[in-house]
Amino acid sequence: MKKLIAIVLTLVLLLGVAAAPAAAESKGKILWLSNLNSGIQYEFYVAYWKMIAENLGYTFDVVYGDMSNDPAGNLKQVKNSYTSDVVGLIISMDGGVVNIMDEYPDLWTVGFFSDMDSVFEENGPSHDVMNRERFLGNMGDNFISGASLGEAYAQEVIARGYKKVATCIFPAFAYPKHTVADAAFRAAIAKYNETASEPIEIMGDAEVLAFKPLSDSYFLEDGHDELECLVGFCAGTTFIYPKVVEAKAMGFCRDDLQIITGGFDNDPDLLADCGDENNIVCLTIAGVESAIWPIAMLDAAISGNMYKDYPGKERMNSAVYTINSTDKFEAMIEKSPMGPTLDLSKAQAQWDDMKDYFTSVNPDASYADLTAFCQSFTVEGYMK
Amino acid sequence: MTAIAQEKEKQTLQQWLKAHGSAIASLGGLVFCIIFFTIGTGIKGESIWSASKLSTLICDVIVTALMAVGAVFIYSLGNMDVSIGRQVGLYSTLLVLIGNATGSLLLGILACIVIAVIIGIINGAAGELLHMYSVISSVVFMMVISGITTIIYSNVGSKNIILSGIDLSFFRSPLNMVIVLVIEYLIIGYFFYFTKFGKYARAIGANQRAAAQSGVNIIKYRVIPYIFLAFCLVTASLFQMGYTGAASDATGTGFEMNVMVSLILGGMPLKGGMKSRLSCAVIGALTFSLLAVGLPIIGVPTRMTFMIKALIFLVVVLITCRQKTGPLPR
Repeated sequence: MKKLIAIVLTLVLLLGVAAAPAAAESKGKILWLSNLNSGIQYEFYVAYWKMIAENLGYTFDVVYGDMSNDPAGNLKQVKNSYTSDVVGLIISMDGGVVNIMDEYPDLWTVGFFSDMDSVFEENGPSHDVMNRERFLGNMGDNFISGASLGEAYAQEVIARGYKKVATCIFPAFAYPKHTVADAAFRAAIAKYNETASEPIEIMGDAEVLAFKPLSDSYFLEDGHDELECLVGFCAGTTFIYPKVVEAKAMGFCRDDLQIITGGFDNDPDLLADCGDENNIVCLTIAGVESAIWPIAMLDAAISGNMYKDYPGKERMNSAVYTINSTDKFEAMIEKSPMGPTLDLSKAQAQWDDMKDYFTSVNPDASYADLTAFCQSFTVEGYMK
Repeated sequence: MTAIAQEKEKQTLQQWLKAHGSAIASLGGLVFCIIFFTIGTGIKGESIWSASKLSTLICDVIVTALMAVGAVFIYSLGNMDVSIGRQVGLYSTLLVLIGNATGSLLLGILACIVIAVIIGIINGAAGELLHMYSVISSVVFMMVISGITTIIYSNVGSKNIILSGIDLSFFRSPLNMVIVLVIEYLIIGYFFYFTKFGKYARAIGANQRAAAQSGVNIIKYRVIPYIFLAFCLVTASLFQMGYTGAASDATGTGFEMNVMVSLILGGMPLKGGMKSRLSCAVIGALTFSLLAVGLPIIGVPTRMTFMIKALIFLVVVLITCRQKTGPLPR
């Protein structure tokens, strides 16, 4: 019986290979070394890039990077998935990027939503990439500068009138941007306090979450039970929110404690708890339509029509969605492509809107226009 | 030929098949994958046996194979070491740090060997001395090493560290990888098949009480396999680190599972004993890597590869499995 099952499965596999449609004539394959493997944002990027790639005449596939961004792991994943038709690589993980470019020196490579500190900082382990002609730059995950994120969250705290707040970050060795953001946040609050009639108190140092959720005892320590707002520079929807819900149920913290953090998930329970009067009061995420930028850069390089005003590899912000009101949360749920189910037709930029920014379609397209276009998307764009 | 001679020949063949059946069965998975991907990639017009893909295959297989060859000794005892991955991560990190500090790999290698042997001795002896499953001490080491690695990277202030100023081309050459694997295989094979270290290890795996009553020093012959593993892990770490010239806090994560899956694919009896064979390590690791390298070539979208791998794993296990009873490794 075992042998029969084995034979049947073998036949199914071989027939599956033979029956798979032959690849249509294409300009080659674009690979995405992904930092995600599930979730609505992952689904959006795959579908959006696939749509753009098909319109441009490429095929598209995903390579799952090493979960912990290990250089050897990322290199291995790319090597295993590399076929002779691969012409471009979008990297959302920077571990091993030098090794990948060493292995495939002719491959055009562009960074997307990886902050790439290792590349752009002079002593960074991957800084050598800056000397490679075929590295085209990086668009970061929302703000490239941690300071901008810290200041943005400080303004949100001030605007909402919280008086007792605390912050959470990931370890500095893994996310140096968080430490910078925390420092900028504290500086902005300190500046506000200089003239404020009622100063804002930041309770204790930033809580460092070692890639684990907030501790169960967090609200029992250092007056944290009095907190009005918890600011998470880390992925707060995953690492802070569930613990706040638990703490409220147990009566360990104030009932009106709210969270300002980053990340987006279309989990209905989570979304139902977002808005002015709910647990999550503000989320910042990168504008997903910014994904046009890396594929436009690859297309320009691959087709040999590089933008005439391309200044060389750059590190830049993506578009930023600041979702900080009930209306905006509702817009994200109902009018964005990332609602309960993926709906690409709701994206702020469809193929007809974006095609003129690709040099293979419009040889006169400019890099400045492309960049401005990709940074222009806001959550308000879904509310029109 | 007379009927008697024919009957005798038939019996001889049956005896041979009985004696070598398990070895043939263990090759089944590898043969299946080779045939499947030769046909499959041929249909798609991009051979898995091209020079570049062969190189990718060797690079993919080397670290797992080097670890698995050493691990066969441990599995033959009926034991399992789950600290393998974290050990490789720690040794890779030390090789980079000490290499950067001294400008040479030598001191790093010596330091790693000393640490690996100490861990091996403790792992091997703890189970017997403390009357617990040996896997428990390896779990403790996995956690301790994980903590040490985190502290190291916190102090360094980066997730990744790079070795500079040392030529690592030796560790990136597929030919050298094959040569080192063959040498390791021959050395470990000699000890496993032709010395009392291997024979006693398999005897302990088969029946520890019988082995003890036959005069085998259980603690000694439980510790020695872990020392062999220690050398194999340091060798694997050299190739792991040398592959990119870098290490990270995540280096080695999950490698123990890769080793276990490779050994299962290679037909290793997980309860150890006399049927343990060294070839399981290489056959299994090669099968495992063939899946990783072959599936993208035949056009399987990355998202689907996990499911296809599971299907092929099922096919291979159905072809090779023959152990119906027996406990899991201890």
